[in-house]
Amino acid sequence: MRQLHRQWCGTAPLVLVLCLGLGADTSLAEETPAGVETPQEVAQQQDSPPQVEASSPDPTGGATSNANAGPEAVKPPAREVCHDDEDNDGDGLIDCDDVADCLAFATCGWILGGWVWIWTIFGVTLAALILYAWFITARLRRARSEETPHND
Amino acid sequence: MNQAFEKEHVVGALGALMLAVGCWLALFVVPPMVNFGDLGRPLFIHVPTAWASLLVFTVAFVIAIIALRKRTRGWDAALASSVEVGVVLTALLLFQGMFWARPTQNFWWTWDPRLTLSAVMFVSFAGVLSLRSFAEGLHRRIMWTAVSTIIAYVNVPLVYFIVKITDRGIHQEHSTPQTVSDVYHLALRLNAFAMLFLAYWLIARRSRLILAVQGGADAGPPAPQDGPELVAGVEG
Repeated sequence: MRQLHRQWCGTAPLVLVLCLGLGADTSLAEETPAGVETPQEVAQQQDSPPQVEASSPDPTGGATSNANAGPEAVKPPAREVCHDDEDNDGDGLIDCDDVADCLAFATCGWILGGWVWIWTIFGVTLAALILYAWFITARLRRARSEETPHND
Repeated sequence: MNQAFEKEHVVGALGALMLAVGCWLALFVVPPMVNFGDLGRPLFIHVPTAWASLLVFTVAFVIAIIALRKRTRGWDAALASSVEVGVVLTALLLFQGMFWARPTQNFWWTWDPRLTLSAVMFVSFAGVLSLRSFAEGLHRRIMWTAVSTIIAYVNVPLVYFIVKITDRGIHQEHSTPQTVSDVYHLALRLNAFAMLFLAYWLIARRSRLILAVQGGADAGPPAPQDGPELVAGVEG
């Protein structure tokens, strides 16, 4: 659920802003030092055990502080670590073979070293600029043709 | 409306040519980056888009001040156009950042200070356009658009300088020609100027469109306080 929420919050800037108050997972950002990193460094960060926030069991053995907290609530979300030769999420797929989790990971060679992402970024940017220019030009032409009387 | 050749086409054509060459250099000519390999290539379009969006919003801020004083249709159209082009560029900027962060940092989004402020910038200027659509009459429309633009602009310098204020987050501090390898300079500069030229062309064309659509009949009758200049100052 938490991961689903995180993915939804990443789909569009506008949605993200709407998600501001819903507490998206920022644990990775807090672990990330200033400056840019290599994918290998990110992979190393993934090796550290996931942090569990809130809903920890009541030490007295009674009810937990979170009403929904059960055994699943304290279990960290399983996610494949794409560079440790282990099946971290228990789905039988290891590292880059786990397409669901490692699809976007740059060093998984079968996505052409990230060229899919590169083409997407350049392609969408150029297409958006062309579409916007076309939209303006077409509307301007129409507005002017309506403005100018025909001499038929 | 003058339908003769309009000068902004020269700038637009130059921008398109420079962007084509800049993207070709970025994609096929410059060597892969040390840290990111080929995935560093999107930075050659991401960074110029960021520069252009910040500059366009700065232009909008200046136009807003002038529009408040002049209050003509021409300045109103220029203001709305520059805000709209800035919003488009910021939307592209956020898209590029998200699609670059996913393969390199393994997340779509993080509440990095600059990222968050950029999202706020996008929403606030989109809000300016939304607010503008509710205003009736030229006088009120200029007033609302200009004042809300000035308010929204407060965030823009923060977006630029936040990396100097705090070192938290994924954005590094400002790069300079000394901190970037020589082989990357040409592609970066070409795309930077290309984005600026294209932004200028888009603003000019959008202004002409607004003026053409509004024509002589502005939405609603002119308010009593609107002087003759409001009706006369059509040429943008």
